Amino acid sequence: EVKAAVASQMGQADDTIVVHLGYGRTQGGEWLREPCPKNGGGFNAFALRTTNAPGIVTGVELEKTNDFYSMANVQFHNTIEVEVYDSDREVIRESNLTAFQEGGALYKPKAFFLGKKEVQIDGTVVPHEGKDGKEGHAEGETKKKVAPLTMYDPNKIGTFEEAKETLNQWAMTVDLNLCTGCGVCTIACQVENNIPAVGKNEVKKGREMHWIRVDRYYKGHEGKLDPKNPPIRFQPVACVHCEKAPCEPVCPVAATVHSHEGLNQMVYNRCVGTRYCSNNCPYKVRRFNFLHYTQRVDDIPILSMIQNPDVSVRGRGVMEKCTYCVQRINKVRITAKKEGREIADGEVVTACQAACPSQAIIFGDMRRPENKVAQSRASRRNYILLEEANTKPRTTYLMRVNNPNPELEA
Amino acid sequence: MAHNKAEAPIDKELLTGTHTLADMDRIVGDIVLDPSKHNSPPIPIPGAKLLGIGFNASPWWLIFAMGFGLLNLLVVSLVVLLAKGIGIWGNNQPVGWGFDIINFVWWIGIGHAGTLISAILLLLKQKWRNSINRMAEAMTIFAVMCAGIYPLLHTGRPWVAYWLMPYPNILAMWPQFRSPLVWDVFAVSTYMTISIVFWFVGLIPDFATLRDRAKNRWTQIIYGMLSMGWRGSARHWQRYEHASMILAGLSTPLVLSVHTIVSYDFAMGIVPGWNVTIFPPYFVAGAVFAGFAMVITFAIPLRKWYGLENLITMKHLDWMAKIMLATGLIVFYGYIMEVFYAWYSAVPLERSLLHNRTNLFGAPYSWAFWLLILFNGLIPQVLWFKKNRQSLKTLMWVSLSVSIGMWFERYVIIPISLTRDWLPSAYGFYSPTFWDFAMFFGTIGLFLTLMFLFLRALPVINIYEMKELVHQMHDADHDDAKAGAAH
Repeated sequence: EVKAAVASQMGQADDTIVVHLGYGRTQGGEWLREPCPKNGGGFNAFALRTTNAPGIVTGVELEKTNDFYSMANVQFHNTIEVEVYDSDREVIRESNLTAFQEGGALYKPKAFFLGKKEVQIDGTVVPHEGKDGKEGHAEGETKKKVAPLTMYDPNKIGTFEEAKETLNQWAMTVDLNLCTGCGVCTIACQVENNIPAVGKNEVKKGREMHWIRVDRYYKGHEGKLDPKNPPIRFQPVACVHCEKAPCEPVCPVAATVHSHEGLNQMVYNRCVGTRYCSNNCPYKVRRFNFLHYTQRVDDIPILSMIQNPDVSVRGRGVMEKCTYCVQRINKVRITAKKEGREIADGEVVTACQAACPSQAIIFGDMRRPENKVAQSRASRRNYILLEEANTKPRTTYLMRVNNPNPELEA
Repeated sequence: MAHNKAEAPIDKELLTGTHTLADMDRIVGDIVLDPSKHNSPPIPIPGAKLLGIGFNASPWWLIFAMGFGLLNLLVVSLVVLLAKGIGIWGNNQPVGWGFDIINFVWWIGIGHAGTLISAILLLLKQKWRNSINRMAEAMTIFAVMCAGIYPLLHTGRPWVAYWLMPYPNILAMWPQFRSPLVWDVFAVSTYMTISIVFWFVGLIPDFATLRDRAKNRWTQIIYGMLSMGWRGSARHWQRYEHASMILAGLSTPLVLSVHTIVSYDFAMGIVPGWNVTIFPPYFVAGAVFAGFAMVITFAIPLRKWYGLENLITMKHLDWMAKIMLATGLIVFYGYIMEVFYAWYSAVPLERSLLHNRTNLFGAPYSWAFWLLILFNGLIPQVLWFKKNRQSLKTLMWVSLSVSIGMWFERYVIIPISLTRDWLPSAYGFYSPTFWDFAMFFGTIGLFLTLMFLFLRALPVINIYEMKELVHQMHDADHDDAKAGAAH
């Protein structure tokens, strides 16, 4: 007999119940002092398996109890309207193939007009020929001044032959067509960066420490949602390393600063923990150590062996966030320097990128046009999350393009 | 001293009853020097008869005991906070600031009445400030003390909170001056220092009065030291007047700047609901509003228990109520404008702000906004009517409502805006914990303890200024008599 809590999920087939088998743990560590399932360990579904029939069990009965189980969700059941294609407010942009191929304002590559010149994706500036040979604007574009995608103009920094190795400009793209919402990026990041597990009670209070999270949205249509089978959309969000980061000017002690390579750096030992940066981050990717979440490692020193020695462990009262795996960047930089060469494309692989089974994350130096991330950013599918905040993030998203069978649509 | 005919005639209602200069010494000085003054009128403790307790409490002891108890609660909260961390509160992601900053802003706001009364009304030569400025200024200092606990201890690592100050260090680091929190450090510390200096300078002649009237040797010595050799000579008075004017001139801009800078904590952020240009004047008006409410809350029982009704008259309460009404209207205008701009701008984020605040059916914290409108917007409107301004009970209720309302205003600004901001996936919630409330009530306890100790140890009304008022009224009487005799 198994007594378990039930969570209804929109879109699940009728008359089915999914029961998860775990690894058989009945008690956890510091944050799971009380036996499972009370403190988040789960329910022992193995009780349904027998050695006679380990693969399948029949004749199971389901009985509803009146008990109440408190669940720790990291996200509300948010819905977004993705049908409005010309809305530049939408956090997940989506299109079908036909509309995408036809083009339109939303599907232009993100080359913006800066005054009368056109700034290309790689930062080169092209004066635009208008009527009468004077500088003008492309057809259909208004006269408004639009900001470029990035503030780093490679023409100003210097050619690659002259540039020192510190002038890589790191960027990342996340392909929403490839993301399946599996969440492995979250786990990989947690393992790589010594992110503490905070336990069910803290997650219930909204204090999970994951630096990258996979947001899940249900797609509605004209304000209505079909609870039976709504399309579900996933979006992994980590610190997008804004060039104009709202978190930087509000830190009173300059604990969050910007590197010459485009990384928004969190300086743990300077942070006094006022949390203004977290309030000011529109993406809400900053995580604060509200309690001493690594107390267990202090108590049992051998547990520090499970931590990554390349990454510092944050103490209580300090803010942390995605660092573009700066430890990996540094490691590669040191190797490249010792060998007297440039860092090659694809040499620096962030933890989330490495773990992603569909290779949805591309990371690299955006200044070389032949690099994968530069080509990805130049794609017509590329868009900026929360563009209207004008934060100029280094992590951009590739719009999801569907190609449904027309007979299904009907 | 001839009555300066160029000045406005003294309002006879500011000091009722006939008084001599010595009366002022006695009425106010005895509160400090005579312990028996704190015993009446006795208040029956509710339920005392049931418990068989035979005595009635003096109001001073009753409230001091309450305040001291809450102060102990504060100490316990602080110890647990330092030992365990900010996690004992309800703050989370996305609500990085909760009760901690709400209470900080609430306390700083309350302090503004004192500075306005002491400084601005001095420069404007308003005589009605004479009897209330000492108490109000004390309130400012204690409120800023209560407020100051929060910026220091709401940080995750309070042991390095001093990094917000620009001191020479081996790290070769300045604080980051673009951050409003650093501006707060300057604003609040300036406010604290100037307020204490102004208050102390004003106290010197009164310390001398107490020194001269004290019977107990130790009392004489202590007040003697505090009065710093005041002899009451003409030169002393001249310097005193100059110092008061200079300090008033320094304090006046503080009334406007301190809360403006506190409002920048929000206005400089990009959170919808925070990035609002009306914040500086609206916060300053709100601070004066809250401050006067607290002054009225104290003045009404104070004048009754210590026989100060002739010094803090109904005229004073009337004026304070009018200022409260005026600033309340500015604040109400601010609420309406915020909501109007949010709608009129048609920016989707701002429109959602409108929904989050007003929609009682859809938004989880909208009840706070409507309570705010009730406490701060609607209830103070009764002060339009003179009958209500003359009724002590009404004034008391209205001022309490305003204090609570001002707390809700910051609640509306902070958690509501943070729980629903840019990304829908990051929407959250905020539930304050026991320790949030404990620390809040603890700071109220600290405030009460300090105020009631002040009541016991220092003259609650500026004796010198009251004597000045007596003198000027005498002169006015003489002039009237002369004018009368001339006919």
